Amino acid sequence: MRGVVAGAPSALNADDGWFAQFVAVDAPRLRQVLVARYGHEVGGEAFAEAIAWAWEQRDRLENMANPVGYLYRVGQSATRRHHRWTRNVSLIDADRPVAAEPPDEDLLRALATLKHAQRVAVVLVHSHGWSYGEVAEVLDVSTDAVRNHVHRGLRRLRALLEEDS
Amino acid sequence: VIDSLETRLTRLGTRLDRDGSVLEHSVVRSLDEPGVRAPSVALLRARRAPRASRRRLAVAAALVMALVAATAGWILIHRSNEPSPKISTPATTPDRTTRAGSACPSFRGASTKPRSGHSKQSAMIRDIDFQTSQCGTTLYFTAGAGKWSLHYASDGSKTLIARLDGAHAFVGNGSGYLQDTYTPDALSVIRELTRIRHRNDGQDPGTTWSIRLDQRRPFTAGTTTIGGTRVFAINVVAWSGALRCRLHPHIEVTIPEGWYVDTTDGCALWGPEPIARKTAVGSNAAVQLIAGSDFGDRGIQLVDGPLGESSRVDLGTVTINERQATRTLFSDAPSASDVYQEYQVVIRWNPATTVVVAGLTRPFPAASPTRAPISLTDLQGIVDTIASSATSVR
Repeated sequence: MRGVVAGAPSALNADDGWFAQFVAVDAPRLRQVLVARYGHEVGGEAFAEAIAWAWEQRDRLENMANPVGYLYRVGQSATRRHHRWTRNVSLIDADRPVAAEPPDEDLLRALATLKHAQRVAVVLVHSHGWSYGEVAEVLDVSTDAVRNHVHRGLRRLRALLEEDS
Repeated sequence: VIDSLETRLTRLGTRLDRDGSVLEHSVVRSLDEPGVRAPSVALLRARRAPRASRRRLAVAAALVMALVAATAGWILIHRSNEPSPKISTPATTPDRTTRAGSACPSFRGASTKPRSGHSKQSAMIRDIDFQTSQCGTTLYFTAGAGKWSLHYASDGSKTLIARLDGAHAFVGNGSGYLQDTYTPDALSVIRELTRIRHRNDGQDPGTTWSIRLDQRRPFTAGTTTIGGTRVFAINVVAWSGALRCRLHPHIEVTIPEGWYVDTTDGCALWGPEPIARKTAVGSNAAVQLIAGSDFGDRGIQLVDGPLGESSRVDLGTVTINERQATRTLFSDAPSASDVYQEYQVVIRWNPATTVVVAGLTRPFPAASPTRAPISLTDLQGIVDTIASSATSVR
């Protein structure tokens, strides 16, 4: 395990080629799937843990075909130990005024009631533009399963939002 | 509805990515901070109001402190109505003299011996807090510690090493949720808390902390719950209650206020014993070596006046004065078995402080055949142990 010492590779200065590439391309996807699964708080922390782990183990990850999927498991393992992981999932940190417009509370509330797999599939496909195949690869499930999750998730969302309206 | 829903989902994705980019930048940047192995999601939370759990913890801490203060006050008030115990203590006795056991339940059983245990673990330390009272300082890690151990860095060291194998910490390099180094208030016996090692493995997290104290002190540690939040607490004793150590089958050392002894034998914190109140020998007496706990009250009737010198053992800083005596403590009619030894151990801790240890070594066989008299060699070993490990509080 490498320690951080003076002269060590910098994650930001991109003198570690693979990791810089990973941060630019794969880290957002890892963050998206973890936040979709666990919400902004626990998912964000799981993301932080996974990234730190990736930095430590970048030599191993470099040779992996599906580093995002692997790191998703790392993040999952971290959240298992966490007592808050069973709480209701909140995708957005409403306390932090990043966006000018208010969050879509009805939609967030409805998403929070979905089964985890349905919420992850719906958010990744319809909010982040993932393909069914990409979702299936990261979650390690079949494409048909992802399609079913999306279909049922949307149906459930529609029903909930219609009830609200 | 489906068109509207998809639009709303897309808009949600935009918002999530906007939030996420801040998170990603913060997390990756933290990897570059010297000495920081854990990224800090908490950087994003730094400007928030305290979370409900932290507020609960603060309220609970305030209630505990109020309770401790009230209890201590009650005890002090009632103590004032009792006859003052005649205890000679070193001139270095600190002002903080809270009674053991009643006002400081969390600190009961404290010692300087290594401790270890296991509790439910959690991947992350949510918060670190210090609570200082007359009893001492409690360091809270808001986390399940997992497998933990606590020990002094080395013999004579005043730095505790706390290893929490089930919890790691997000660190924000000063502006984050947790810091690398904490410096409690000046009243605390903990001078500094520093994270010295961090295993940032999602599968197998862990942190190691160094806790620098003002001096070597007894401590306890364990998991508790405050306001519904599981915390790992390390209690470092600041008060100077009596410490009782059984150093030998026949000998207990009762160290009154102001002193403690670090021995390899079992020592436990007790409230001031009557035996300690009544048995002071000489103006500098601070440690009393009591031969045979079965003596009860009679065993503490130490001989007044200077002891005759029958032998003298120079242990560097320790002098043992010993003499034979025939006076009995058990009856008005001395018998041959009532021959006993009196001894006085003078330990010069420093030029300003002298500790006198006085005791009796006989008779034992008459009362309990299984107990043998204590030899001078035994005494040397015992005193050597005391001399090498006892430390004045100030």
